[in-house]
Amino acid sequence: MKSLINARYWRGRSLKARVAVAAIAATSIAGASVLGVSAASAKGKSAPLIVWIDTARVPYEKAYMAANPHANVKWVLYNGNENGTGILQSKFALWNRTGWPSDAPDVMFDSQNYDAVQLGSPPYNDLLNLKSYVPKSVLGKFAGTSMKAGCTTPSGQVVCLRNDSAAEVLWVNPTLYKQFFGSAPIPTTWATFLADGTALNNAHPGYVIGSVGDGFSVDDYFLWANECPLDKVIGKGKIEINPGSANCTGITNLMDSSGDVGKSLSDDSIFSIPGGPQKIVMAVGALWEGTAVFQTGAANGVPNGTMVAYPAPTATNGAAVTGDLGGGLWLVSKHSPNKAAAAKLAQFMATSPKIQKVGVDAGLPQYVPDQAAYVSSLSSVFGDPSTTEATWKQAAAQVWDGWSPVPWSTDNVWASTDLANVTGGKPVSGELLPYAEALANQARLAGYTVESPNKTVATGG
Amino acid sequence: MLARRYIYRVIGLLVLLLFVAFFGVPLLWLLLAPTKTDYQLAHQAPLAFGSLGTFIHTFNRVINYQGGLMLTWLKNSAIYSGGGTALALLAAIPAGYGLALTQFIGRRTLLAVTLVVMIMPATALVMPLFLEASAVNLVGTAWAVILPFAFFPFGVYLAYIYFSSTIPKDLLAAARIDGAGEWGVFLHVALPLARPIVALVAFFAFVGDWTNYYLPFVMTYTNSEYPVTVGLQILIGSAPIFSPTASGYAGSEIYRPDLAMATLIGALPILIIFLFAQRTLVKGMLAGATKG
Amino acid sequence: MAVSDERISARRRRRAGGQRGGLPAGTSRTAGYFFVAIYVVLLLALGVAPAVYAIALALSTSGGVGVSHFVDTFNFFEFLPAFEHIAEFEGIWLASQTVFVVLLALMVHTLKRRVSTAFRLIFYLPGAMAGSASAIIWLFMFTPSGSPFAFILHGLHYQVLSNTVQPSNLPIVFAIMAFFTGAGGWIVIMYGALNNIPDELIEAAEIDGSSALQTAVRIKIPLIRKWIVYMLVLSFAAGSQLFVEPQILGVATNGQVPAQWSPNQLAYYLAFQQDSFNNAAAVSVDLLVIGLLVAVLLVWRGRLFEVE
Repeated sequence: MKSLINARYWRGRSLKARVAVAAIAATSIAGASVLGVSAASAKGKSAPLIVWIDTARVPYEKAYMAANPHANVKWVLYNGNENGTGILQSKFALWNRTGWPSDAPDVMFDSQNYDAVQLGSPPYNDLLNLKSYVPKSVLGKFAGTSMKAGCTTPSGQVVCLRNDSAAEVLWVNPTLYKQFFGSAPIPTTWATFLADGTALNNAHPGYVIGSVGDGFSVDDYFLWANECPLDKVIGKGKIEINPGSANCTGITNLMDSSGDVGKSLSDDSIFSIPGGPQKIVMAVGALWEGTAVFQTGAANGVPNGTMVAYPAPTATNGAAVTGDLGGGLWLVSKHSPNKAAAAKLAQFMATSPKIQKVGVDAGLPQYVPDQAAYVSSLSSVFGDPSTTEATWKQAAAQVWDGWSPVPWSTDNVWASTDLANVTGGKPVSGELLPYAEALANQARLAGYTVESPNKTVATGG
Repeated sequence: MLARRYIYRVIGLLVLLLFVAFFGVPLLWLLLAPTKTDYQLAHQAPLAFGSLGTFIHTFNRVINYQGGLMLTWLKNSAIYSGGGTALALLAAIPAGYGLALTQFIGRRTLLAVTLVVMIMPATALVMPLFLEASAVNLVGTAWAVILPFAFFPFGVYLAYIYFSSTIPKDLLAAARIDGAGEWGVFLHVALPLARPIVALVAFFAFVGDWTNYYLPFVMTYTNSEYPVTVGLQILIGSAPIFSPTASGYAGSEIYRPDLAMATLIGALPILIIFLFAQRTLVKGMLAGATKG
Repeated sequence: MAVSDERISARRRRRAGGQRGGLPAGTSRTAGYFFVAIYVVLLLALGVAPAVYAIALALSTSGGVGVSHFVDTFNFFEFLPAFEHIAEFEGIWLASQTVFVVLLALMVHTLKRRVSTAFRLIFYLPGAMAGSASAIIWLFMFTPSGSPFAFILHGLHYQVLSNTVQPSNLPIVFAIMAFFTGAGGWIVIMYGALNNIPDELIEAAEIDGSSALQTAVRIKIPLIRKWIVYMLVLSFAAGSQLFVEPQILGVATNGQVPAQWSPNQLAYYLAFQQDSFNNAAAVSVDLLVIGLLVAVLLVWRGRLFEVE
């Protein structure tokens, strides 16, 4: 190395070569200065709580520190275990082999609904059972079935606290709706909803009532919300996958016969509708889409105070249920040396009104006592605030619990198996069976026994 | 006859231009995308120019994203690649020299093993490497990425070819007769002649390290540890257009022009090295070519 | 090229001395160990040890030593598809890269030097975009709305990204990405190799009435054959490790590219999403064996790496 940085050696050498070597030398010197960092020592009770949050949760950090100025907490930014990255799964798997390091997180925010049950069940088993740390009275006040269905493992442990609701509603742009449909009532069934789309196809092409152009639209907005049993855990290690159910075929047949798919149900993602969100007359979507799709940061947004949330259409079987997309979870590590303190911090994050008032972007708190304060901040953001508020609260409690959290992403399976077919013009109803079979493969890989009442999916293996 | 030749030439030129478009247009697009807003990007011609102001604005957005995360990633990439390259040179150049110009028991075996590991899929070893690194407490430090980078058998092979085909052994023998020790011969005779190969190995090592994704992806796990390659994936995860469930929270979003700008910034160091390194590459690679 | 002159004279000197491969008197026999010492330590610690560890992990079962992890992984529904995907990808990529790289190098070589420099630079610069950068760029190039290549995509009736990256297209999609970043460097190297062909040889052929095409096929290509094989070997090795492109495309398409598309991804998935390191190691060892077979075959039989 000495000869490389020896000036005499480089004299007369080409400038390019010198630049290249100087760059490498400079970076390696910079490297040397930070290499002094060594692995941290074993962690004790006095160590700070380590909390992993995503960037959107930074306001929570500020609110927490304002409320607890002397708290000994180290906040670490990560990607919230965003879809497809599996950061928590991979780190947990490695740590289970090598021992949990002192810089492992005590509390984590997680944006993937299916993570908690996976990480809290074998072979992981890495999440704290919050039953013994969070008062029963608190656990009982989360809306709907979110705690029972989303945070409870098959063995009965409560392994997460639900941060915000991501229940689905019908987002309507009343200005556009009035323009195209006059004073007709807002659709309350899937048949009338899709018929409105058909009317748009003919009279106002380019305007849409939603999308089928991504991995989650069809399975979350249409199948889940119609109680289609493709992801229904029916006991420990048992899953029902029944694409022949009338709950599944009912809605897909309606979609196909409406002729809306690829037209008023766009092949593009709801986030990139050609012409922008002002082309969306209405769309079934999660609560948070009210801001995310129609306003946030986009130069082509819809004016504040426009969008109104109405209840999502009633399922084809008549049930008043809805689906769910997104929303966050708070997880606590079983390996934390400060379990009680960690659980307390997670509880604060999920339930403190101080946290849940950080802004409209935080989403509707799943914790019911916080909802009133939150929705009151919406009045300037959405039109008809009282309808929107009522719809939100109702939706948060109506998510169908038969679409269970499992160690695979149903959205990803739809995306890899069926999405290209649907956006390529094939009928949606034809995708039920391939989708179910791909789901069954995932289920067997994860060690589930597949039950298919109509024997439509091979159950062996 | 002449006309036919002319036609061939025209066809040839057309084929060349086709490939110029294939290689050039994506790069041009990458340069132009950050000059536009997200809306313009979606609605204007793909290769239209937006404005310089927008370009600067996009640059600032990306640099300041999450309090300068991009700069942290660049710094990490520089540390990992710079450290890895420096160590790779330190190991590979003397090793190539030793294999080519000295004699010792096991030399041929070492040569054969080097050729084999050079072609074997390095990524297959990443997981065992992680377990190894964690056994010696290196995970969480830069060494967990740098040390695997330092192992660069391809560099050893290149140096070996170079030394065995371009350095006259008589020259070394003469130096030895003059009383220079083995280390002295290497330092004062061989190394000064080895400039092209040092540059070439450095080039391949640095470019390979900078663009490596899998190793740091496994070895690091928080935003502050990622290199640019892994950071880019985080940015995609923050772009509502690609990861809708990531959105819903103002201020954390990444738009398409930001993503293009981040890609551009992340590739810039390599782009600069590439501009300077083309001749080094050819010279170094072909050094052993006419032999045998 | 000054270097080649130097080299030729060096070779002559060596030949005159008649000691090809031998060593001059006075060489210390222990010095060699000293020079290779650092490398050997790295080789053992970071090359051999993890390989041995992977094999041990793959073979250790609850009942001792056995091949059950290999059997289990082979029976996973993702296993064969992953290897099929990578085989299809390698086939498309290696074939097209070989044809186009040789073709373009030959064509560029007939141009005037200054013109050819510009062409080579354009072909070669995308190499700086290897890995995630290329994946992101092509993500946009493959999105029909806003892509400069939209006219081609629309011609294929692709209206949205999910049409372009439909499962049957993926091998070609990744081959395009790999070609985009990899071809230029090889074109530059082939061009250099063509430059090393003595002018007399080509002139002699032309005097004999050989057309440009005949000269290329009969004289030029045989003389750069070694480099073509070399390119194939290194590209095959790199291609078998495909990971970042499908990974990034998977994240960007909400999973339309499954997380087990390539064998490397499958190994990662088994280790980190299924918490089964033994199974992951088994897939890694499968990959390792395939890579080693190809390596040994070429090193041993192909005389490719022979320099002594």
